[in-house]
Amino acid sequence: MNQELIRILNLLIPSLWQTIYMVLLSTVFSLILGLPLGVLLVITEKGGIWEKPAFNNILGAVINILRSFPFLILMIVIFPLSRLVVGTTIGTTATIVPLSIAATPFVARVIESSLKEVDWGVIEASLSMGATPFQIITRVLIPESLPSLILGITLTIINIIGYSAMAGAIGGGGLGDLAIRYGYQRYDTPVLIATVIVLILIVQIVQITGSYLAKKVDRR
Amino acid sequence: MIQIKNLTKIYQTKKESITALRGVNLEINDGEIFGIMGLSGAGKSSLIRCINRLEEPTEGSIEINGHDIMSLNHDELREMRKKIGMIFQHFNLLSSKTVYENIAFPLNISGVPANEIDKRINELLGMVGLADKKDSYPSQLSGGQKQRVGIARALANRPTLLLSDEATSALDPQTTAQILSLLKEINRRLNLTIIIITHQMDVIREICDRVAVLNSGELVEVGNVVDIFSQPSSQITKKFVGIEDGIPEDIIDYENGRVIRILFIGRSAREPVISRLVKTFDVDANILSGNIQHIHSETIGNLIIGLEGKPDKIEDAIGWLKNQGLKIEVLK
Repeated sequence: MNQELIRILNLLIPSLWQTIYMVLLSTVFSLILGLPLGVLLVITEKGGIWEKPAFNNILGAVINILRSFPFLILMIVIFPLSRLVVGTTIGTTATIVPLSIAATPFVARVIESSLKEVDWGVIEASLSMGATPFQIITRVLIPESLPSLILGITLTIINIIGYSAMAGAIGGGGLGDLAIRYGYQRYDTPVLIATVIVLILIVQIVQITGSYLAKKVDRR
Repeated sequence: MIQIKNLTKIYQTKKESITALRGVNLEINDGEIFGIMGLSGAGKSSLIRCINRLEEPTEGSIEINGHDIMSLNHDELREMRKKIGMIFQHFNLLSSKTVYENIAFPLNISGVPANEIDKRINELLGMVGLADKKDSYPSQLSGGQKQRVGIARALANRPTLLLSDEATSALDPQTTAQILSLLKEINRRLNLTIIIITHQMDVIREICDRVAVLNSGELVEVGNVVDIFSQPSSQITKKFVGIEDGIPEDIIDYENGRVIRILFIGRSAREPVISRLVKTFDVDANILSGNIQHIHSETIGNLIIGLEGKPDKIEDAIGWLKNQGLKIEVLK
């Protein structure tokens, strides 16, 4: 029994770190890319504080196209970019590139819907005080929608955890890959169960933390 | 002084164009409290938003102290807005910031130094009576307190003009009265011009010096509040001030004699006109409806009476009333 536990842990722990590594970095990169896009979607909209309807339509269409790619296909299509950015197309680090790209349009939409919750009246009041569009973004839109943004980021992290299960296809490793290779292909049920339990725990921890933080910053 | 000339605002949608303002001409003097009254959809919001160009006028010109605001570019417009405060019906405070931070907001974006900001906020908090609430969040305040924060925020950059967009419409009557007296005090103390849009008659009556009445985007009348209240000339204003044209419905079946409306303004409201009339002309006076309003220091009385008696005596009585300096209208 003890030996079995050690065997499972030896498999589980490296995979867990791979998952955490992939998810964490992908979240950071997708936020860096997605946040400005989400902001642009909101401010360039008709009636927005930096109205550019034609640009808004194009941006919206591009985001929709990216979102309609199945992740498995996107991982392969993106090989040239991965090679350019990290120098290789396989492995855990290389997986971060497609994961970030796949999550970016999702982040953009999540940010967009959060920012749209900000009451127009508050934006109008800021305009009446002579605020610039940039000041409105950083001092009004983002702080006012922070609780919703935190929940959106939580949603993104959990989504990326889901995507990361497919990382095995390009040698990315991680918990999902472990579950497929051992649990499914080798009928190693204890590893399968252990993996699923760890994934459930991660998702729970992320969600509970996200909800707690969102509530904590909510002054409404 | 604010001069608005031929101001027109047309909202263009795919299907139709909606004219919110049609050739409005207005002059607003420095230091006065100017009311703009109208039903919802009359164009009040568009008008007040054209003054700080939150709405771009379709046509016409607006000059503030001789400066044409239509010619300003984005940067100049922002600088101008810093000198025009605005308060709102739903307060529009930042929910994520404390009272202190809300008032600091316009000062931060104007680049006022931190020690100056602190000094000014404490001054403003004292002025609006919220010194003890500076670390509260808006959600912890009552409606009246929120509007006080809104007023302090609007005054932070020491504006010369304050725009009030239905600022008391979401408040109860008692709180409304408190906010109005605060606005009046600020107007006197800072010699601040205040433009108020409202659909509430009481707001106009309480604090405005002059009033403009808007109806379907057109300016129907402008004048001193006392004049407009005592002798409204347009249909819509009459409705607003509660003087109906013709015979009120409940008096229409009055069949015993003549019906007249008497308007008292100022001193004449205190003369015992009716009892003198009855004694002198031997007619009976039947009071059918009436009210007396106090606007600023003026008294305005509006009385509808039925006169009964011999027809020639009644004619004499009406003639006599007209000579008493009263405005008489024979309704029936």
